[in-house]
Amino acid sequence: MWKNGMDIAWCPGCGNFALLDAVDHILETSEIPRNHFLYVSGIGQAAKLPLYLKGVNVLNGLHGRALPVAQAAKIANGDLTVVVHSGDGCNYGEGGNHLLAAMRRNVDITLIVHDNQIYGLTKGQASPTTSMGMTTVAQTLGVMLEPFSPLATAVALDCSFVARTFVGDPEHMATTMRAAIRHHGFALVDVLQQCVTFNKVNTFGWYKQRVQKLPDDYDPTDRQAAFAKALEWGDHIPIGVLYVHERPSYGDLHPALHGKPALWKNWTTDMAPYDALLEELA
Amino acid sequence: MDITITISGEAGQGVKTLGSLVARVLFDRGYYVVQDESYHSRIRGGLDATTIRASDVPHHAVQPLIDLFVPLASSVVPYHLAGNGHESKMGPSTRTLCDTKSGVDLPATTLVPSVERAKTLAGDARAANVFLFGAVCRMLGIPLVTATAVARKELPAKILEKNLPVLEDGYAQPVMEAWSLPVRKLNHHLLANASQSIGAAAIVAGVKFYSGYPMSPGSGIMNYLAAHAEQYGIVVEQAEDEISAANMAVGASYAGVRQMVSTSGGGFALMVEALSLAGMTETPIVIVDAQRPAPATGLPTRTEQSDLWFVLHAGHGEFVRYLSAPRTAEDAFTLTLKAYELSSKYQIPAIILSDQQLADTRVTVPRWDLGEVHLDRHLAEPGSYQEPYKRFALTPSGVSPRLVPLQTDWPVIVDSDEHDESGHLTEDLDIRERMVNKRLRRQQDLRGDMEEPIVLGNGPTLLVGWGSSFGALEELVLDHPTDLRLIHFNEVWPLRTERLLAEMERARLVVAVEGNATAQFAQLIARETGKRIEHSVLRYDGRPLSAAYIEGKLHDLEVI
Repeated sequence: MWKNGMDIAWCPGCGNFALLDAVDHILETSEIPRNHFLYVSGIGQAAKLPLYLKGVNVLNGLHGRALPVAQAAKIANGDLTVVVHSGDGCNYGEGGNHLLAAMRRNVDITLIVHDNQIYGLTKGQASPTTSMGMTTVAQTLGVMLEPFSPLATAVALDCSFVARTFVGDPEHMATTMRAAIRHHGFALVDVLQQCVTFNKVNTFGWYKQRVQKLPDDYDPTDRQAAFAKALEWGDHIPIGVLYVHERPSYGDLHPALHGKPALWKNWTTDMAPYDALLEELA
Repeated sequence: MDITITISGEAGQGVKTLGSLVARVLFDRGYYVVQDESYHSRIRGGLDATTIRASDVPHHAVQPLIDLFVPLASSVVPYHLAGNGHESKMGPSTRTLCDTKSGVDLPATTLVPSVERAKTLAGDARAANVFLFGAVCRMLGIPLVTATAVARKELPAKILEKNLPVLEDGYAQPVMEAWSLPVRKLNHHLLANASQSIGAAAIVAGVKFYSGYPMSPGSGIMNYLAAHAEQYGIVVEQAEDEISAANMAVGASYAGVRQMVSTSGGGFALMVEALSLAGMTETPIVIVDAQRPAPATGLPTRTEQSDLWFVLHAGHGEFVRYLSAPRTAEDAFTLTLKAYELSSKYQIPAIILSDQQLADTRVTVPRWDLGEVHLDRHLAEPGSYQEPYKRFALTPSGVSPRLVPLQTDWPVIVDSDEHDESGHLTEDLDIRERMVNKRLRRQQDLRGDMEEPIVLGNGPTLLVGWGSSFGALEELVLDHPTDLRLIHFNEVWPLRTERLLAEMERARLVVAVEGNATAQFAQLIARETGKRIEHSVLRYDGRPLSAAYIEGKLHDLEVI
């Protein structure tokens, strides 16, 4: 049982608990009322996080498909603060095309990827971020695919906010996620976390030894430097806000959204505006 | 008065421009017009034909025998020779109009120097189509002033002035005035294809969000909405794929906006998981499947009615849906509004089965009466739900009061997992049963909202049809009212069977007429009624059913 009294479906020792605490802390301390938040998720153990939040809107959708749902919900109702929580399989595997498009589309939403480098809910198969050589129930000969680099991909696509954090540093995690939510535009946060049941290589200790906060004088607007940082993986893994490119969001660029009331409020039963449609065909 | 004009050329030759001008001038003259398009899936070359039928009584389908043939290239002539059953074809009385240097060698041909004069007068060979438009109007006995007015309305402003002398020159050619089309009075009518009528109805229904991925013949709706997006404050988003487009539909609708998705069968195939999501989360969405011949890529620019079973069963699991199949562009407007009404009222996906024939065929339709349109998003009013708010509250009808986020202070929680009344994931199997029953029992009331099918004619042979075959079947049955009888559906799920059973009971012979190879609607009827329809007329060569085509097959069956 977690503190809100819900029966939680995660394994004891799962990195998701610290993540949930951080999200709850963000909601508790946010100036935005809880019911203005919409949490969207796909499917997986990470995707269950929104179910354990109180007072927020939730849409728990399909595996890999959280981003299209979340972007459209934000376009439809711009008064919502939209946050997606889902795993590495959901976002980097099944939903890869949506991730690429979301970075380009730059709708003002936040994507938090619970990245434990393994599939948990389906019980231990390789994810796109699993290290080469790791054997699993499905990759019995060891993973033969190069791991996907979410942050390098994000910087390459000029994603407007790119960050990484680690569940072992709750304060850093909360600060990073809060900055992502506050960022205007599409924000990606890759959260390193252990999977105590299925990933015996990238353990809590493994990450703890390797993560290094970015130095105070790091300039996240330098794209070349950010790309170099994004490629760092191994003995040292940088955490923090790697890249920021402030620019107009989708909503800023679209005349039906910019400076307008939320799109869903644009509703009329007055038929007068539509005579013009018929006149065109007359 | 019933005249058929075919303009045929290679892709890129401007068949569409000339066809639009001719269709529009006949419409403006007060005739009922049907204009279909038959083209290959390419940008240049191949075949690009349009057939325009004008008559003084309403028709909803073209007929295949050409009165006036305007070939823009000699390469397309073989497609229209007698014996080729796929395209409109020439007969003994067909007259031909074409350019002097086209190389076309046909009887009863008038040759005109369209390209040469276009170059001389406008400095642009492409103006030859405007020249031919002038000559066609002259042959039809339509005054120059009428032709000029249409050109002013249809041609882009930047080329209009230099094209008008070309039009006058074409009109001045010594062609035979073979027809006389006096002006008729036809008020309160429009010229529209189903892409336009569905698009217009979506805008009228309050659509503010469109998501889709280009695919013929579904893209016409996207293009229509995009053209009107600025005027009506619509967000038209070309998604990265159809999976995204359909999931966006769910997200937008959940958040309170009326949306539209259009595609064809192959794109719809990618949407089915999201369709199931809409079913589980009781999110109203509207999708148009403009069918084309399949499997796989099939014939991208042709027509077929072969997605009925697919769309009826698309999506894993069991959930309620509404399927309509418009008969005509006129019907498509009304049924699109109904799709929004029913999807909102019952919180279900609604799918409109259009096809290439409907999407691309312009037809004269009575102007829709916007005064008859009553919109309701069916969002819960304050006091109509119990507090704390539960999105999936169990009710006798199965419909739960629906709020959208920020409509009130209550959060709205929905889940693709099985969930309890509050929307939270559950593995309680008693709740599972209650939720399945709640979701499915909405179909009972939905069925009551289905209209009865149309019945025409008094003959002993009953023809059974659905969707876009109506124009062809109507024409055939009205020509043979004592031999034939027609029952025709434009709402195909949930299926109303009362009238159908009565008509099948009294018929001597029942024949299913469909644009597919396996008589899918007849199979659906057999499943729903236990009555098998033994005979069928099926067309699956990619071309629309026509009265002549069906008549030929009925002769084979010896029923007429």
